[in-house]
Amino acid sequence: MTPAIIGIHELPNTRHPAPEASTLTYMADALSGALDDAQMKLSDVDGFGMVVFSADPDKAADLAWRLGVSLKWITQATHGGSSAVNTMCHAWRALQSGDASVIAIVAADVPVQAKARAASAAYNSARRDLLTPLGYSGPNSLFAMLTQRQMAKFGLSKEDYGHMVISQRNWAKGNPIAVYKEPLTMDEYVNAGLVCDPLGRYDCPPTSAGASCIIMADASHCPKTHVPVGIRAIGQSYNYDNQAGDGLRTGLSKVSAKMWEQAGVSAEDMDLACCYDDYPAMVLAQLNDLRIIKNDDIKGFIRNRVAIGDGRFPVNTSGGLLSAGQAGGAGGMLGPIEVIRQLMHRGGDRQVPNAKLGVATGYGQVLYRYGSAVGAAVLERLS
Amino acid sequence: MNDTADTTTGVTISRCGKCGTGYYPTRLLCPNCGANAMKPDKATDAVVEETTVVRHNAGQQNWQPRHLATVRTPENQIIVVGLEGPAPRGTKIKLFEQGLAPYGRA
Repeated sequence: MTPAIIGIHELPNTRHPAPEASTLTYMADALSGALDDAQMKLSDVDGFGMVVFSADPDKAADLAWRLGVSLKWITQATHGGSSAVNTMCHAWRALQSGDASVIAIVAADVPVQAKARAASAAYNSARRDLLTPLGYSGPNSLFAMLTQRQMAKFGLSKEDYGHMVISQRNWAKGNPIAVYKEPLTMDEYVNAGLVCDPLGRYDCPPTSAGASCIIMADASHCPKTHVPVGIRAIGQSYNYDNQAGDGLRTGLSKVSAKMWEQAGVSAEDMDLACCYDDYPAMVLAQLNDLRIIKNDDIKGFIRNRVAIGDGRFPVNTSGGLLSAGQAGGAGGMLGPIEVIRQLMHRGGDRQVPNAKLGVATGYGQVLYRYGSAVGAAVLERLS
Repeated sequence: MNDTADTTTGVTISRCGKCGTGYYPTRLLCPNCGANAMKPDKATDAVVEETTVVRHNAGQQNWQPRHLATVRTPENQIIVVGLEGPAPRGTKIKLFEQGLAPYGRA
C-alpha cells in the first residue's frame, strides 16, 4: 500500500454565493467532483474526513448519511486552519494501517455573516469570556499585536509584508478560483485602510464561500489522466507552548526537524511551499520554523526569495487565503490542495516548472493570543 | 467597557498551591509541576507591551474604535486587556475586571 492523493476538486471561492447554496450542498459538489477526478464511485469510499466549521448541528456521521457513504473510518477536525492538514495526516496513517482503503476528505464552508460572527465571538470559552467583551473583532487584533512583535524582533517594515502579499496576488492571477486576481501595487498595499494597527485591508483574508475535496487511496488506483501524489512525512503539534510565548514560533518549530528526517529530504529540496496565511506574519513564521528561511533571516528571505521575479521561491501559488479567499474549513485545504495540484502538474498558468516536492502546512486554533495547532505534510509527485 | 457594570480590582489568575506558579487565563492543572492544586489569585499590575486599535468590525453598525493591549505582569503572565485610550509601550497600568473580562487603566 502506497497511500496517495489520487483525485482533487475545488469549487470557485466567492464572496457572494448563490442564495440556494449551503455548506452541505458545497460538500456534495466537492465530493462528487473529486470522485469524478479519481474515477471512483461513491460506494468505493470507506473513509471520510470532514473539515467544516458551519455544518451545525450536523456532524460527520450525519454527513456520511446525507452523502450516502458507508464507512469503516471517520473523523471530524476542529482545529481551525490546521484541520485539513491534520486530517490528511490521520488519513495517511489510516490507509497505511488498513483501517480504510478509500478516504474522502471534504473541506467546505458557506459562511453566513451573522452566524460566523457569533461563532467567532464564542470560538472557545477564553475568547467568549476574556476577549469578545473587550471589543475584540476576531483574530485581527491578536495578530496585529503579533505582527508588531515580529516587526520589532526581525526588523521588518510594512513594505516587507507588502512584498509577501503582492507576490501572492501575482500568483492568484493564474488561479481561476481566486476571489482577487487583479494586480496589487505597493502604494495600494501601504495606503490601504487600517483594520487593526498595523494590519490593513490586504493583510486580512477575505471571508468567502468555498469547498474542496481530496481522494486518498493506494497510488495504483490513480487514473491515467494524472500522476498520484504521495506523502513522504508529516508533522503535527497541538498546544506546543501553553500560550506562554510570543507566537513568533509556531508548533512547527517542535516537529519540523523530525519531519524532514522522516521525509529523507530537506527544506532546500522543496519546489514550493504553501503555508496557511491567515496573516502575512504567520507565513513568515511557518517558513522560518520549516527552515525554508535560514538563520532567522526573514527580511533577507523576503527581499531575495519572494520579491524578486527571477529565481523566486514559490510560496502560496494559489494566491493563498489573502487573495484566493478564506472559506472556513476549505481555507485550510487551500494550501495542501495547491501543492497537490502543482505536483500533479495541473497548475495551469501558475504551474511551477517540474515540481516534484512540496510542503503544505495548516495553522490555527487560536486558544487565546495565537494559534496552537499546526500540521505539515511533505508531498511528492509519484511517477 | 460597559460604564454601568460592576468592576473589581485586579484580574483573576490561577496559582499552583504546590509550586506557586501563577497563570492567566486560569488552568486546571499546573503546566509547570503537574499538580492538581490550582487556587484563584489576583494580578493587579502590568506593563504595556503592544497595543492596537480595532478600527473595523465586520457587520457592526456605528462601530467605535476600541483600544486593546498585550500587557505583562511582574510574574510574566501575559494578558490581552481593554484600555480606555492610547497607552504607549512601557506604560504601567492597574488591572481590573468587568465580569470576567480584563481591563487596564494607566
